[in-house]
Amino acid sequence: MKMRIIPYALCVMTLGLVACNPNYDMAGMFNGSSERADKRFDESMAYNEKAGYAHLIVPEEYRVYVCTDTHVDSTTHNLEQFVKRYKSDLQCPFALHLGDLVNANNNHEKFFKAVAGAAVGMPVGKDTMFYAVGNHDLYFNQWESYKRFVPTSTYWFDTRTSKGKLLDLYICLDSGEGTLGVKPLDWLRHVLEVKSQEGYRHIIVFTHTHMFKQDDSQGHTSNYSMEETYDITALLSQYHVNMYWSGHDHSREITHYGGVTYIVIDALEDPVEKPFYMVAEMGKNIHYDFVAIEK
Amino acid sequence: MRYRTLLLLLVLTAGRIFAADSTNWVLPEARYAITARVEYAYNKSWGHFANLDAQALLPINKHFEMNVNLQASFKNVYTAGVILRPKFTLPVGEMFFDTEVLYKAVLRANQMDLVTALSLGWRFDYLSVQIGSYARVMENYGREWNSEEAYNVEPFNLLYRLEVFVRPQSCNWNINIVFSDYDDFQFERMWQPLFMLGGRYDIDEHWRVHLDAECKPTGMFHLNAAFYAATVRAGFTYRF
Repeated sequence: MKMRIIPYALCVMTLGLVACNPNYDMAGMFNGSSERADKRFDESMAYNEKAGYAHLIVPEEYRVYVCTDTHVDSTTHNLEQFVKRYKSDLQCPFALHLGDLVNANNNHEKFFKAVAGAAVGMPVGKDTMFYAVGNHDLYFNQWESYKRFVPTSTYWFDTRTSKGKLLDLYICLDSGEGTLGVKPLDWLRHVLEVKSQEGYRHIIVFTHTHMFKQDDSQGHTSNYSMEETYDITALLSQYHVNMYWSGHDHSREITHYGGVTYIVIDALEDPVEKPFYMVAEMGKNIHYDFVAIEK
Repeated sequence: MRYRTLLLLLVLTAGRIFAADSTNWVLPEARYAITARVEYAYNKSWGHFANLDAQALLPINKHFEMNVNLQASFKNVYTAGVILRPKFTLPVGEMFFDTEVLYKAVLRANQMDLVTALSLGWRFDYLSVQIGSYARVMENYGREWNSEEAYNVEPFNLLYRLEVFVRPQSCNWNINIVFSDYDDFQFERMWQPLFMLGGRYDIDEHWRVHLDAECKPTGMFHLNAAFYAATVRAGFTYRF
């Protein structure tokens, strides 16, 4: 009788350990615990309307530092290195973080404290970081804590010269659910339709979830459904978006499809063996390179 | 040791357990059949829409059958699939090998999606399991075909299907529950499962009616999962 109980006990213990592990929002993986995409979009739009959209004055040629998947938990080494590097680069007016700022619950404060701490003593005025929300920022109903620091998940901003010449348009999407949702997809369509007429040099879309995975396709992480993949890729091609920057999969991949370059950037989290971030040189053309952070 | 013996007995008798009648567990012989169905569907990208399906089952001989699936969607998407299926009766259940080609003309997005799939399945009266792999090529219409940016290739995707029936196959009605990443008209990525619930009723020797529902969540396993799509299908089959 006692022997019979062992397999059941092992199953229960395994499930219990997984469920109690603070890194796994088991419920969120099957039924997301944060507000739904459309609700987050409404809140984001309300904020955007109040705060307005940013227009950054930059030189015609500048650099953008892009990182993703820092998954801040107990340590913040790689994140701090990244912040120090982009802030000490005088040609870099801003940086992007493509989501999964934190790993589990209650770490957003630690993340932003690390960003602020790393910035101490760095050149003034180089302190702009734009964020996309990732699935780990939404698990455990963390939209509530995320929006205390980043009140919008869907927005755009642009860069222009001091003489007012339009340069590049950046559009941030909330893809933490694997679908943009009904309203955000309409919003994207509308923004691209209007903005593509204004004569921007480049249009960049950045978000957390990757569009494609050619290498070991989808063996690692879930992304969009096929219907959404068809529609978003068609939209990006139609309005001549240059690049789609994403993270989520933790392994680098570059795909060219329909005139758009889709880049999945490596994870920057502390435990990974080879953390990388991307530096994009924005000029007449876009040149990008991946830079390692030494352990 | 006692547990090993029990496990061995379970494996050896699995077919009998899954079969309705332990003296006659062989699945009913496939017959030539044509099916027509209409679908109401909703997803967060395309909204509400309808599809029309036509399907044919062609059992060429005892060990080889063929399926042809056609679908026209009111969202300007057209799908055609062919399945070649060698099959063998085993002492326990029936084993089959699906070789499928599915072509989808996504005219609304000016793209096509071609999937080729290979899978191995084993079915019983109450259960059918299938596992395999598929490759996908997406291509933009109207772009230079030999340019790198014209197409996207996802060479390896896992294909899986688990189907449970509440009654034996020979009964004149049945209900099935399916967990899979593909159906007759779509192949989803590995982490994008489909949940299906279906029923059929044989009115007489020739006519059969179907009613099926399908739900597709998005972001399961690695994203903040949410509802994405639902489909309801109704139709009939004529068996020759």
